[in-house]
Amino acid sequence: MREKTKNIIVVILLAAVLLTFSLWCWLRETDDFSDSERRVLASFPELSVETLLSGDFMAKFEDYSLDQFPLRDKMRQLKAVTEFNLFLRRDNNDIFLADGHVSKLEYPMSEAMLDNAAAKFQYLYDTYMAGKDMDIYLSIVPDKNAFLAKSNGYLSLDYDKFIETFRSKVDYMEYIDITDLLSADDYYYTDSHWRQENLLDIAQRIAGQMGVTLSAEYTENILDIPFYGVYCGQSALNLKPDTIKYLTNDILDNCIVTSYDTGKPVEKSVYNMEKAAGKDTYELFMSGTDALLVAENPAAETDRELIIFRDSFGSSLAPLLMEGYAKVTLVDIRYVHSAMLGNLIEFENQDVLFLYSTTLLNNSLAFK
Amino acid sequence: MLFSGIPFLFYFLTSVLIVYFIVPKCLKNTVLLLASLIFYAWGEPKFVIIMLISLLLGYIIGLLIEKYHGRTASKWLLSLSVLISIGLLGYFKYADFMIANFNAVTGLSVPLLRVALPIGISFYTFQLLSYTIDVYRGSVAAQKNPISLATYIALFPQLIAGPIVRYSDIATQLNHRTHSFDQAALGIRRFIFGLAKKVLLANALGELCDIFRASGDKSVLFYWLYAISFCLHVYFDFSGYSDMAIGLGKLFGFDFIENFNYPYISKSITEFWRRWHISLGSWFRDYVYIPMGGNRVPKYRWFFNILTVWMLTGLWHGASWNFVIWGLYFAVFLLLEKLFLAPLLEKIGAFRHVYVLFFVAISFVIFNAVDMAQAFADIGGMFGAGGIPFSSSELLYYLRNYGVTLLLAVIGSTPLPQKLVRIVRTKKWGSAVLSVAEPLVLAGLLIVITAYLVDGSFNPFLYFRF
Repeated sequence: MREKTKNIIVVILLAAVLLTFSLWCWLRETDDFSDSERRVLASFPELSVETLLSGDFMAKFEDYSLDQFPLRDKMRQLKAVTEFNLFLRRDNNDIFLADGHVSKLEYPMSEAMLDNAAAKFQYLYDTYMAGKDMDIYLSIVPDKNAFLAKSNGYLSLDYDKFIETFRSKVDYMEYIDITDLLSADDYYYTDSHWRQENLLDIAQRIAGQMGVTLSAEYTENILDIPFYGVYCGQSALNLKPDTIKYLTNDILDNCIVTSYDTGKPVEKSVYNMEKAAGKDTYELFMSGTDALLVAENPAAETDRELIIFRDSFGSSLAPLLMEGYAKVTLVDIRYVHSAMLGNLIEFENQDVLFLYSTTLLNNSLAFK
Repeated sequence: MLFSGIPFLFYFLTSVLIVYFIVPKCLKNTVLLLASLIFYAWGEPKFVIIMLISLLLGYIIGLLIEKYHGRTASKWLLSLSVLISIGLLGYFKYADFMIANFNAVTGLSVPLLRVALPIGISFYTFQLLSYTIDVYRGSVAAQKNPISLATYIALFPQLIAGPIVRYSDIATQLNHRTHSFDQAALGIRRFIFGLAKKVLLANALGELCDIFRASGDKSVLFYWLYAISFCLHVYFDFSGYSDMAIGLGKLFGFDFIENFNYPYISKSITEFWRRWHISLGSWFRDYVYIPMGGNRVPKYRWFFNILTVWMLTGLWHGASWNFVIWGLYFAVFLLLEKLFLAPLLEKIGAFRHVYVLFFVAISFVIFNAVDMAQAFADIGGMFGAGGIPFSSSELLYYLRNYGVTLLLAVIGSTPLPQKLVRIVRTKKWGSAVLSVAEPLVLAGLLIVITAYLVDGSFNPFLYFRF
């Protein structure tokens, strides 16, 4: 091919690529939400003299142009595939694949974040629990990197040190160790969370240490909605979805679950099928991220009550503890301010369990 | 606006190219000027005024200097031009540095001005200065058309990060330039390779430098990995930008000066500076060093000239002592090489490269430090100061993670890929394969780069701060 012909082809081909994507950018309808990334996408910014002079329009246009780029998910996938296969990266945006799992690097341990979490817990204890007939327990859920990262050559927290460090900061709590009961198989392949169907021994361990015996039997149900975990979207790779199984019995069927998220009581259920069909299928469990949920067990043979300060790992474990309590209150202090809790909960003589994952403790700025 | 950004590539550039090639020849400069002002205002709306004032003054003073050529008035006018240009640069870039040092010396507390630095002011100020000085010297005619002069100064491909294009180099092209498929293809090729250098290599290496800085698990080898990564990062970032600027220039019919020529293959520091940021080095040579007498002066004066020029070169990069030290550091090596080191370097063969790479790496550690305390700490870390371990698990992880990027960057910083292409092109089959592959590779690269931009968050341009 003559040089001149090749140059003409270069110009025409590249102009075509540039023009096609440009026209696509200009003419396409915008999307409001990215299902894969589980977030609201930037919309076209307000155009005015003020926003132009302040530079606000330009800054927001940059976000808009990235979020609304045509084939955005495919583009992210192309980048991930190039990173993994051409540049032989071990991770892409901290997401890595190991032993069939997708996971996200959690490294290094942040002493400041642990201090922040411990200070928040101390506030809760001093304000609502100190001097009362309440037993306070702590259980830490290791994220799945504890079983995947180090063995596969990824940067990993020293989990023993992490837990020991945090325990020493909250020494008024009785610690319930569950790490020996967990393995990578207890977590979803594409998500950070653990599988409820594998948590019976963990529920028994926790309940046992709190002086409650669990013996109920459950029926295992398979949710007929594919579960694309949080790491599916973050990895941008084509991954097979997980299957969610959930456990039911008469006790759970008859539980009355009330949410106080909006200030007014709203009746919900232990397993929220509407949420399961939404953006995050894991929200099947106790409706996901409600700030304050109260689950009452009419079949309880006791009047004991439990308050669980928790993150989303608690959503799938809490139902398995219902059997031993008349009432379980789930509090997520990422969504309700700690200072408000006195208006919402009567702290008397309940058992109190702080159940948190290492991921949240190591990134505890969200605590209010 | 960044060249390596979606708004530039798919909104701005496409629009400008369409309009530019539609309008008649007489309006092309106007289109380029308007586009350049929008491009500049996108990042700093209020600073367009500063640039326009500089432009207007440069235009008027240029005409007056020519009018009074050979008379004392032209000297005064040139002094006025230099005073205004350096005054603006000094106010925006160096005022707080000088106040801080004044406070440190006197113990006073004169409040800092805290003025924002207009993007690209160092570049367009030097271009304006070169224009008025060249008009004064009579080596170029003053530009009568204000749009042509404004187009030269504000031309968006080189406005905010160079190369520092001299008026004399493109004076003819401002009014008489041609466009062809060959030139456009050359421009596209250069632009996309520059974009790839920036997005695929420089950004990744910059990430690695940031990871090092944030790490709490530093080791001797990690310091070295950082030093090497930053050397490669700054090269691919800046030379990538220069490639994009040169490529865009070609698309619009301009030939800009080359700014880099594989500096890391140099055999001496003197050679390194002939290959690194060529447009800045030659600017200081022609407008500062030679007017000061260059090397045709007594030895003590020659030392002074070199130290002054390199201190100014350092200061041009930033208002901070580490940049001053960085410039003087090179001045010392240049002097040593001119005095006695050059013949010795000839004798050590390939070790000359080790010598250059070692001292350049140290220089960039100084360059990238926030202050001299950090620079000393980083250099100390490279030699095990503070009892840090030799290696660490974090270092090994990131070495593996960025290994291919580093390898590609090292190879890409040498002429090896270009030589390989040349060899393949000499074969009949090779030429045929390259002819078919080139358009596809360029289109593929543009799409992959776009994918990185859509997904990426780390995309700063290092030289925007200068």
